[in-house]
Amino acid sequence: MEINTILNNLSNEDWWVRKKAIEGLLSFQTEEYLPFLEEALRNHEDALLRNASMDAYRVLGKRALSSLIRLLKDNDEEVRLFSTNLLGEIRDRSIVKELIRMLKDLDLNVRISAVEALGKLRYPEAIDALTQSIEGDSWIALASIEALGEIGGKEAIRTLHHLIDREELRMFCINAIEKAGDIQSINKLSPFLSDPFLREYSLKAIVSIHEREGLRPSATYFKDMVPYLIEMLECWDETVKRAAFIALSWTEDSRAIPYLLNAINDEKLQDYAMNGLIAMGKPAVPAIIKALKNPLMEGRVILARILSILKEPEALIAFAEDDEEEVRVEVALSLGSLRKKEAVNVLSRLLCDDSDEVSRSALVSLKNQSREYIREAMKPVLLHSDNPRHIIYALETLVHHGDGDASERLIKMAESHDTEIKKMAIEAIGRIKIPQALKQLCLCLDDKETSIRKEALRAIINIKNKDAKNLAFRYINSEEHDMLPIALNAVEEGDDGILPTLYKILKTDNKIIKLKAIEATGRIKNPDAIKQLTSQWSNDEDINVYIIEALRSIGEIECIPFILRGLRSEGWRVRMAASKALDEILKNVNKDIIDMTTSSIKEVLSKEQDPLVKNEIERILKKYEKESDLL
Amino acid sequence: MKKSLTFSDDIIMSEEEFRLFRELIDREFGITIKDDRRLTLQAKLSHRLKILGIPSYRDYYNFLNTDPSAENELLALAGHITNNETYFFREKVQIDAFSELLKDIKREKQKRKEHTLQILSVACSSGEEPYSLSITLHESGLFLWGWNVKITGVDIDKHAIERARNAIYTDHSFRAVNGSFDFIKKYFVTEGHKYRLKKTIAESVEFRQGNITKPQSFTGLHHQDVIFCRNVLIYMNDKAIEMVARNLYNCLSDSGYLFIGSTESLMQRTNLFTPVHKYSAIIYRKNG
Repeated sequence: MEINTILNNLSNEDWWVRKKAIEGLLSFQTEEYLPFLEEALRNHEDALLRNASMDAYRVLGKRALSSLIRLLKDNDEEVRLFSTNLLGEIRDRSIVKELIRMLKDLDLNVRISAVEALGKLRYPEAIDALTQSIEGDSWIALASIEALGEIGGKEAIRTLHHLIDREELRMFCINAIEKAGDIQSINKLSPFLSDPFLREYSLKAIVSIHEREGLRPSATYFKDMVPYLIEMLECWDETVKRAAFIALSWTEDSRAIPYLLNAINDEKLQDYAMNGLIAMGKPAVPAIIKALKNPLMEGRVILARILSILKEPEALIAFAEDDEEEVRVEVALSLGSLRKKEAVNVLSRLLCDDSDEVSRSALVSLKNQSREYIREAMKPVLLHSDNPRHIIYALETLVHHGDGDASERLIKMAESHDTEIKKMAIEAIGRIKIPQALKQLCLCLDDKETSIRKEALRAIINIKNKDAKNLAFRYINSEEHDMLPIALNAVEEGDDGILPTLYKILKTDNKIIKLKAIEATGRIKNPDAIKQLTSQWSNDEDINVYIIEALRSIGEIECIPFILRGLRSEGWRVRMAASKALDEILKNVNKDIIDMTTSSIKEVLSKEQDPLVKNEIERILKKYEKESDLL
Repeated sequence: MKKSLTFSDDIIMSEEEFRLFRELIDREFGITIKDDRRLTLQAKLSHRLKILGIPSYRDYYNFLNTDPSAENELLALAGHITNNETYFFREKVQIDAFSELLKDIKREKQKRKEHTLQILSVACSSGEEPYSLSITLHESGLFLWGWNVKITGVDIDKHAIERARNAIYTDHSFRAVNGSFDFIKKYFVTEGHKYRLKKTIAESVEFRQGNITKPQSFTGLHHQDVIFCRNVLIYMNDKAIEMVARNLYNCLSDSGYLFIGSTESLMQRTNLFTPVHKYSAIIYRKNG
């Protein structure tokens, strides 16, 4: 499209046409359209064009920097206002001094805009100028305080802590501290919780700071405020309501229970409601049970989960026939810890549930029960059920508890002509690892159904004896693609003989096989594999993570240089894996190696932007600097 | 001052693991999980670890990412993490608007001498929505004779689809019906404290499993006259919404109608649809 057409389209009534026109500008040199945009900003008659011009400047960003800086000197205060605003959206340090200059503009609105822009840019160089501005016009003062909150950092926080003592600025300081404050700010804010005019602001700030720092105050901190917090739940301001709710959830006060229950299905508050009820513990249980009994209550599954976390399996028994499948799942899983005949009886009924998820949950729990009641409980299932899945699970339970007859019967079911039954039986055999089943499983390796062959191999590998391993290795050596990902699971430490084959498999284009092969190579723990592993480094983050983890498994000093390379990788998962690998390997090396490595780690740390990775690297650095000192 | 709560004996999801799952879910389903949802996600996934005998969320992540048998597990994951609570005649204003629209649709089709009607319910969960539409259609009496009517429900959760096909419901599914149970008597058979949908309605809806961000989930579903896609876009990131919008656009007939959740909007997310205000509801039509 021609530049003139694009420029005309900037004032089209259709938003999409204007959007496309702005994007179209990017293909042209700035000199071709900047004069037009500058004139458009000066156009008081056509608001649509002026707004489009501003949108265009936003999209252009740094490309338009010189134009915007030029416009700061325009005679028209509105133009200076627009350009000041727009500069606040372009992240470039050079703008700071220009905006500081605008703090002295003749027009009040321009000065306010400059303050706001400095806040948006968040460069600490602006703090001194902003602090001075507080002593000027009151509008500028308030905007400057807000900007300090946006900038944050120790210097800004220190200034805000100092300013909070000034009554006329207090409320704005509290709001700014909400954004920027740290844990030290809590002491400054706490006194204002008892001030009816400032209570809501301080509450929001205190809650925000705790959230940001990943902390909670002790349960007593807000205890005296419970009536006020409950009142604030009716506030028109959603942010106050939210802060009040969160604070209430921290109090572990029983007066909070109805409000926590009400919020259990509220996506925005669910985590807090859960945490609050769980922290309260036993006092919350009767109310949770009552709520769970209401079939129309939303979030019943979460309530069942909470009862399970609170270790109330007896309370959950009452819901063993609940209409909601996930509630029954929770009942089944929690009964694993209740070692009583009643629990076994309930579990045997849940084992025969229509839902496989419920049955499997019951199976898990039955395996945790004591042997005493199992045989008796499984009898009715074996005698009366016509559902093969239930029979297989019952047999599995019995085998787990040492019943030899049940193993034979289960192995027989693996001979079934029905594919589904056969598959379920093989899966069960795999879970409980019946060595006597090996012969039958080998027969299943020749089954015409791929899914049967795969499950049979998986079960064989789970058995973990020599014959099983030889079978698995046969598949690795034949490189049969379908079976390889499963067969590779059989590789263990000491299987050095399979390495040459693994090296060939590492070169595959099939990502899943490659990942499994990398994992298997790492498990062998042979340092000869390091070169082969590192040669597979690629642009794929998953592959690189697996390589690092394999190196970690090998654990030799020779891995360190490559792991340090991983620490500089683009993907945060690779850097995280590399940090953990270093943590592992540095445990067993001498002081010189530790010192060399920590010095490289420091260099990486200085550039690390990701907070999660940064925390991990800092932790390792601290640990091994201390270690080195001790050595 | 305490660190955030952790619970002993429960498998804890670390910050790193939470992030891994957020990225996986975002990548696979376009669903955004917010920062403050770690405990909820942990609660929703913990039972899968116990059932599968997997010791940590990290191992579960690796399983989902690399095990060839994990495809179904991944799809089930989507069902676990979204709030797939639904009920009959949810957001009745829209169902009433749909009922009014049926007259317009019939008129337009008769002019074109067409006798098919296709309706799609996307993210249908356990089937209450497509069945509500089927009941509404039946109640209207407009498409009874000589019409080929097809209603399809699509959902990512295999278990939800199974429940939809079983068409057995509890009181929980009727909470929007405001105590008037005439239609329950008319369309359901009571079995104890459960209600089984009568065959005429149950057999009028087909269900399929599918990920609505992927075009292949809509194979064979073109020329839909009405599409319902409600209360699922709210979970999705912008890129996923664009993909879903594109898929719905390709499915909808040129004269078709799209309903999304009353708290959702496609404005400034896509230019494929234009909203119109009709029968007290916002309904979207294809643009251009």
